[in-house]
Amino acid sequence: MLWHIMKREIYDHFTSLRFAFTIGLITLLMVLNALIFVGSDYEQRLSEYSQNQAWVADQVRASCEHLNELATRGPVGFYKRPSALAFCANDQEDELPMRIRAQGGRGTYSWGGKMSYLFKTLWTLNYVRDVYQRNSMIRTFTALDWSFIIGVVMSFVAILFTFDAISGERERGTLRLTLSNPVPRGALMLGKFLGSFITIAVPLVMGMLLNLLIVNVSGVVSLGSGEWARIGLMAAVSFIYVSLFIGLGLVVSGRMARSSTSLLVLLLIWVVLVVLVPNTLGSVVSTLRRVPSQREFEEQREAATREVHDSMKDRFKYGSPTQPDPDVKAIKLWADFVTKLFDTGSRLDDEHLDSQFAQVQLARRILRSASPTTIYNYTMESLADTGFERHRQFVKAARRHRERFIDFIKATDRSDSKSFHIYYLKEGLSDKPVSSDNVPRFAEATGVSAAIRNTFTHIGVLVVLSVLLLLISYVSFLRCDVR
Amino acid sequence: MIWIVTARETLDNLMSLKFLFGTVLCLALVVISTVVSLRDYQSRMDEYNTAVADFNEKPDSFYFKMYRKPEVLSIFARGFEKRFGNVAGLIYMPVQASGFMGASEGAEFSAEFASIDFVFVVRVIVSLLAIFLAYDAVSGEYERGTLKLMLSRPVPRSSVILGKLISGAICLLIPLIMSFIIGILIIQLVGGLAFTSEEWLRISLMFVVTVLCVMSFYMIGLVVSSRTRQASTSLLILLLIWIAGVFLIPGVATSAMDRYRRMASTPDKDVAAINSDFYRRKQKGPGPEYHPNNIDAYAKYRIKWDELEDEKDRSIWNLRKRYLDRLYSQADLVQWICRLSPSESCMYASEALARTYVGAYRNFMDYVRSYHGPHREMIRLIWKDRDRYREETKKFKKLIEVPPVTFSASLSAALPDICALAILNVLLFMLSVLFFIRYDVH
Repeated sequence: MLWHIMKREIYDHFTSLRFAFTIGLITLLMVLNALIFVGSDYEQRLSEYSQNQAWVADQVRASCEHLNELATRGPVGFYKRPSALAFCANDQEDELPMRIRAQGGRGTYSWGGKMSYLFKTLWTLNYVRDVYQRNSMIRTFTALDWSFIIGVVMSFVAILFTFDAISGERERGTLRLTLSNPVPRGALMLGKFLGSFITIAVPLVMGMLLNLLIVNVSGVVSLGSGEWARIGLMAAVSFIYVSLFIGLGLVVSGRMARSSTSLLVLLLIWVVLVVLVPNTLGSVVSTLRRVPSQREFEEQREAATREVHDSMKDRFKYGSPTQPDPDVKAIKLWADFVTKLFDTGSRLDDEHLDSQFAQVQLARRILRSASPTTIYNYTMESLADTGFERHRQFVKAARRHRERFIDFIKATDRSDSKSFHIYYLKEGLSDKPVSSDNVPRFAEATGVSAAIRNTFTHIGVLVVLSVLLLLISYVSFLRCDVR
Repeated sequence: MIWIVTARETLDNLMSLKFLFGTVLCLALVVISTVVSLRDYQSRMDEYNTAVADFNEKPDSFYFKMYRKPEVLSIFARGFEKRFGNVAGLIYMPVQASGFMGASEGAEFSAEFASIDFVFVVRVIVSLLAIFLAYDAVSGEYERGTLKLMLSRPVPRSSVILGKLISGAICLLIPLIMSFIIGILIIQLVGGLAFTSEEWLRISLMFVVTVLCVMSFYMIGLVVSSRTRQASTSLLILLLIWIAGVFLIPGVATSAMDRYRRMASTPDKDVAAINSDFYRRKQKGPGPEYHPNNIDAYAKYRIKWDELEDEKDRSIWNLRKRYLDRLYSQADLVQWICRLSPSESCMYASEALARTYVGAYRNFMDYVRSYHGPHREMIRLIWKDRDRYREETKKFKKLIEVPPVTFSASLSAALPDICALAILNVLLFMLSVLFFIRYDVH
């Protein structure tokens, strides 16, 4: 019985104008997406990334001559690897910074009477705003990625297929004809759902395969097993998302008497959920929590560092650390000063960035509960390793590496008996060379399992919503009048 | 006869559910977007005023900044207002790339939340409403049988189609006028801002442009409706056209152009080469007789150095200008492609009228650059003519105000879009009349 209904639905849809449009539209968009990605500067970015990594490694190796120089200059910089699946979820990727500077080394002289001391700038995490080169005169309202094609266009197509699923049949009179036979209403609903789902899934799968084929053949990216697993997950999430909208269409269609009314209502819901909420609510919500402006923050930072400077009035009390036989107390005093100076700045930088992050995260949390499209977009971003969450993980990984690096310096320093073991001052640490292989390397934690962990709840929410909508459509259809 | 048809159509549309939904949605969004934009504008204005006041307190003739004032009309059409910097630093060296200033810039992640502005709401929502009003204008009447009923009377077909057009215009003008009034009221009452007469003129032109955009969507609806037999088919086609016009065409054009960057590579490497060459030549600098304490000899050395520096800056500027021109031409090409969609044309015209288009930024940077030459000459007076330098810096107390984009400049920037919309409207009008006259009513 179910199979018959499904077959009828599928045949019906396959021969309709809508299906032809859908196939044409999806193919066009997916092919465009692939071509744009292939023609983009992804290769260039990847080679830039490896060049930058090599440069960082060279710099670190050069400063491995002396441990205290390594301690001063630090890990030099952290670069974010361009994601291979950027064509799947690419919104705002170009606006996010691509690296964090972590380099010290220039010196500042400090004088006091006849003594002077050149203290080198300790490395701190410097959250620079470098983004990949782009033409900012061209505005990108929507990036043509999978999130957009499936999130906006496919949901629209789902509505187009289901708005007259029940109400159209009711108008044509075939609904009462069908139900005059011993057809259970549940089977009818399920058959319609499955029929519409297959009708939309087939062009979608074809489009995705075509897209992946073009991307693969071009050789611009190399898709390993990790990437394929992610792509598989993204396809699964897309299907869940589409079935959510099919369920929505069935609910509204079952309740309305005329198909034009159901189309109107569905389009209204679609415009609000898919177009408006993701774009407006974010900016409204982000005004809820105020973040100090760049100018205010810089003033704060200057004031704090000036305070630290002022507190060191008697810095040459015990002499200068660069004297031939320096006094331990002098080294300790200067170490305190230098560490406090750079820690204050670093702490303020971290806090400022964290407050910006908190603002965005609050807005994202609110947006997630407002529209399934935002849930879908965030899931796709996590799976494709792009977007705001990736950037936040990148910053967290950089901070973790900062701790590891400092621990490494301190541990290596302990093995040198001649050093004063005072962190941080150049003269307080060991002078011996360090093998560059032992220096901890920066690695982002990007694995498929991590991605799954992050998106598990989101996918769960989408699944629950789709099932819920299907149940509602079934229940509301059970008692409605079919004449 | 036309007026009877018009009256009937208008009443029909006004009392329909779709009109109610569309108008309510449009007005709600206008309120939200205007309030958000207004608050953002006010915080940017505060930042600007604070920065200017700080500068006036302690003007620095050696290193000073020029600020770009936030535009009031950016509340209507946000454009590039927040994408580009609005402070440029002049530090004797060639103009540094402009920095940002303002409450909403600090967070680079604020780009995460694109906000919609007034013009977006009007051109997207009201155009959707226009499509909903138009899709069953002819094909729906045909399905219901009322079309042949009406045409069996001595009603000329042209009157019918004209009546439908006029009624559509009336019905769509209502949400448009209400949106503009509400927007203006919010800005004036809640924000306490007043518009100058030039700004009123710009706003009224923006209104005209949005009317043209919405009417073109309505007429596209009429054209499609009078080519199909079933209302649902025409609705399907029209919705696809709407999606293409509002999302796909701009999305594809901007994605393709933005990503396809192989044509324009930054000149940074060449600039670095020129710089290092300059410093190398400078190293072979003055001989032992040019000692900094010997002021006249130092002055002679510096004057020679000035020529080298001018030459270096000219070549760097040539490279940068070529690169910038390529970027601008890329952006222009994108604009031309996007003009296929009336909704995009409307956006470009509104931005040009609101002075938030790319040209406004270009205008600002060009002015700053033109000021750089005289400023540098003034600095160079330190070693050329000390007394005149002292005079000049005394005169240098006030902040340089960059002249805003003039009305005629805005108008000429908006002209291609206004013309495109007008031509589209005329064309679609003729097409809809033509197709309706040839519509088979049986």
